[in-house]
Amino acid sequence: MLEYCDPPAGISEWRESRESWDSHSFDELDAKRALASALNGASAKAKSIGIEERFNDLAAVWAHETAHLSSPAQIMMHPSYQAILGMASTDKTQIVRLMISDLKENRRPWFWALSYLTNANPVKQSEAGKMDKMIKSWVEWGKQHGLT
Amino acid sequence: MPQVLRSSTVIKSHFCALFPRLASAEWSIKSPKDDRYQCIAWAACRTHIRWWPVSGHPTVHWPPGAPLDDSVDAFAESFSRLGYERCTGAIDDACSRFEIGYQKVAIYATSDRCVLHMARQQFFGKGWLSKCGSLEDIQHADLRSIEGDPSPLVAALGQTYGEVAAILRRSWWSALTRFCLFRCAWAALKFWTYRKKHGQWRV
Repeated sequence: MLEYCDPPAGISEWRESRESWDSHSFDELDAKRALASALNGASAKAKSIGIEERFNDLAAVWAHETAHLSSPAQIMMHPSYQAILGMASTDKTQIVRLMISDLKENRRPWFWALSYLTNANPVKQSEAGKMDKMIKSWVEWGKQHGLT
Repeated sequence: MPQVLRSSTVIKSHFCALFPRLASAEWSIKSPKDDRYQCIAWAACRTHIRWWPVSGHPTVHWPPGAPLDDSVDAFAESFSRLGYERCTGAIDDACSRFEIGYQKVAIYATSDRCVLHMARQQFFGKGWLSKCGSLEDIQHADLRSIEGDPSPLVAALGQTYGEVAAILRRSWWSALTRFCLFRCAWAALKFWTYRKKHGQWRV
């Protein structure tokens, strides 16, 4: 029996053969990595779909229940609007992307929320209050930042 | 599309749910649903821009130099730049009546005098015109038809326009010199054409 400090009789006794590493372990590792990556991707996609659905539901309720209002304070105090802002704390980029997309497709006025979340405001003073121009400015801003 | 045409049945049920007093009042729909302007802009005879006093963030227009405050007094002062002055007297009586030679607007607010809505008297005094947020422009026979609970808490939930807190008036001459009569007439003609083209809305 070999003592701990005794040198091995041959190198093959303590090192796995090159063949073993190449043909099995690396392949298995790659397969596991690929599987993990696929699972992570699927999970992220599912999460993204979940966020999008929730965003759309909340946005529809918010738009319907505040459509008759003119006061920005009343509009922004709505629970669904606040819930969407809360969702941005976990995935800000995704929420900003959804807001810009919704602004473009449904003309829902996300201007204040977008400014709050992005610290940006591409709307010029001369365009204030002009829906078409404000939407255009934000959509352009989204394109420039890879969000559309 | 900024303008959306909804059926009169849908509009009626939506408005009566929002303003229960309309169910028993005389009112009609004047314009399609349009998100490009709202009540304050419509009171100022504008149909392409949204007005509200908000400081430091250009998402709504407000006349330069006018007070950036949503109190009734601040709105009255801001509208004084368009030639309006406060009507004296009781809101229900002389103030809300039609006076030849004057154009009038009414300010709706909460009990703590935070403005929520404005309506403009029809040019010949046939009622009051209200552009309800992004929804349709309606004409209601009296100011009380769209009033609701003036409590600030209910207002915070977006469920009321509160009550009429002030009525302002200006002379037709003052409106004429600011091109407002022309703007109102142009918008009225545009909406009339729209109604003729798409069928009269009856509620």
